[in-house]
Amino acid sequence: MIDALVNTLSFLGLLISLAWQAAQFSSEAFMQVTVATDAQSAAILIAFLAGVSEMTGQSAILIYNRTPLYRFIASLAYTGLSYIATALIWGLSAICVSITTGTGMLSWFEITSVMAILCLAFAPRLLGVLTITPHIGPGIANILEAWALVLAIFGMHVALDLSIFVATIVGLVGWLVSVAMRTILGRVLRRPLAAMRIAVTGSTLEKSPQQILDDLMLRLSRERNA
Amino acid sequence: MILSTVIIIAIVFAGALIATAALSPLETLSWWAGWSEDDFTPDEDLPAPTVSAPSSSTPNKHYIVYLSGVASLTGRNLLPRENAFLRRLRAANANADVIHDVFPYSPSGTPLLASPRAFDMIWSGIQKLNMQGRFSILGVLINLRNIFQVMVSADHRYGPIFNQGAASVIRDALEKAGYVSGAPITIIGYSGGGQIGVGAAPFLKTWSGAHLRVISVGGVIASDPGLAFLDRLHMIIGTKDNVRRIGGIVFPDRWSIMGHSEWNTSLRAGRILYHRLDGVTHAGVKGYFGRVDINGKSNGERTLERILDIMAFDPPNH
Repeated sequence: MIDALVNTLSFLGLLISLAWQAAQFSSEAFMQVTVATDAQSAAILIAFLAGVSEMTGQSAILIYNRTPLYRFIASLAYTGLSYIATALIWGLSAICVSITTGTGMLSWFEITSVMAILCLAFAPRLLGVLTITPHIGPGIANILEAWALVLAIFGMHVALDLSIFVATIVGLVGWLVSVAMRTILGRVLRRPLAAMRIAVTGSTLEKSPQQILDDLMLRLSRERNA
Repeated sequence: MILSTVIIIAIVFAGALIATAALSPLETLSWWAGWSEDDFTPDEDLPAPTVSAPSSSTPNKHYIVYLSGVASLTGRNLLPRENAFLRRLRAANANADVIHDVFPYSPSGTPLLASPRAFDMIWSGIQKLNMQGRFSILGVLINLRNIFQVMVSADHRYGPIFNQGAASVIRDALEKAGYVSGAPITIIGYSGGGQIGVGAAPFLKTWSGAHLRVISVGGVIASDPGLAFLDRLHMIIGTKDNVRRIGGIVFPDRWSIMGHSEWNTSLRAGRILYHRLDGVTHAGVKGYFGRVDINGKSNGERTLERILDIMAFDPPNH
């Protein structure tokens, strides 16, 4: 029991230390996740928590749609898992770009290392909850996204021994391919994804603040004209 | 050593500021979700006013709602200079109902003084210090708290919800004053009150169907969708008021390059008019409601004269 507690605390300590170092562009942190399995697990958890944090920052849409608390928590977990999936798709895209263009030295066997680096690069997004801040929130989200992208390129450069140029090409093109894939897959799998979203959140999350405003004004206009 | 201490203090201060700002939408979100103690039933909210024939004893009845600045704790207890201004406004508008007991910086209209008992003494103490004109760090906290609510009102993610709440509070105050459907409404919004007034405009306009204008006194106003629902926005600006300039800087949609924004569209349509007051600052004795005579007249009198001019030359019924 005490051992389990000590292990958990030491794992959390590792997670915090990795996230803090990665956010400061520490090459040691990125090299650590390519070799140590506990550091890889911590990096995956960082990506999950970054998703949870960001969804918390964007939770207004869940609240507007009056999502029950247990579904609210399920939505946070769903977003956290989607971040890990994003890192996987990004990693696969980066290796694919590296192999097809011949610019890099990445192989399919390095997917674990590449994915761990990309997961760790999500560390700044642990601050994603700050996107809830009125007025400057969207700006914070953009800064965090750019920070994470630069960290991913830096991580591949220092931990996989790629030149800055190659790491930039592989990182950027991999990111673009992953965004394109998510968009295409999002369209192809629109129905099952919508069904999954409804299953998780309990609604289609269709009501934006503007729609709430429009609905109310329409009703008021009808009442006035009645 | 001193430099590093200053940097650490600055970082801690910035962190606390961002954390406080990040928490500011929670009041609006919890109110909407029904997590707070305030009753909220959106589907039954904002019923249209009862349409009745205007009383012959009160022809052309006009309703003026005053929304205080970000330093306010409650709509009821205003600063003495604001009370003096409102007394003169009432005297000059015998045919109008002047409503001031609206706290605009909460979607439920709950004043800070009506917060949980544990905070009552703190807010009361701060208000006393404010009344005595003494600067206090807690006074700054009130300003910050209310400024963040102005940011919530101006944010496209939270604004519609917050502004609906603010509109409900204004509507309740109007109904309490015996509002008759169709009677013109003028909102005088000081400082952040200007933004709240503009934000509430879509709901108030649709609810009342009346002529609706906002007279902003040193207002910090975003390019809000509410501008399209106003018959006119009059911006009274002091030439020495640096606070009101913030609105033109921090809200990018107000920049002239954003030609299709609500702000610039309204400017082109002539719905926004500027009125300058020479030498007037944002607050204090040289502020819009200052009571100290400067060249034979106080700034409070100058502001009132300008508002009366606006009402005379832009009558609500025309």
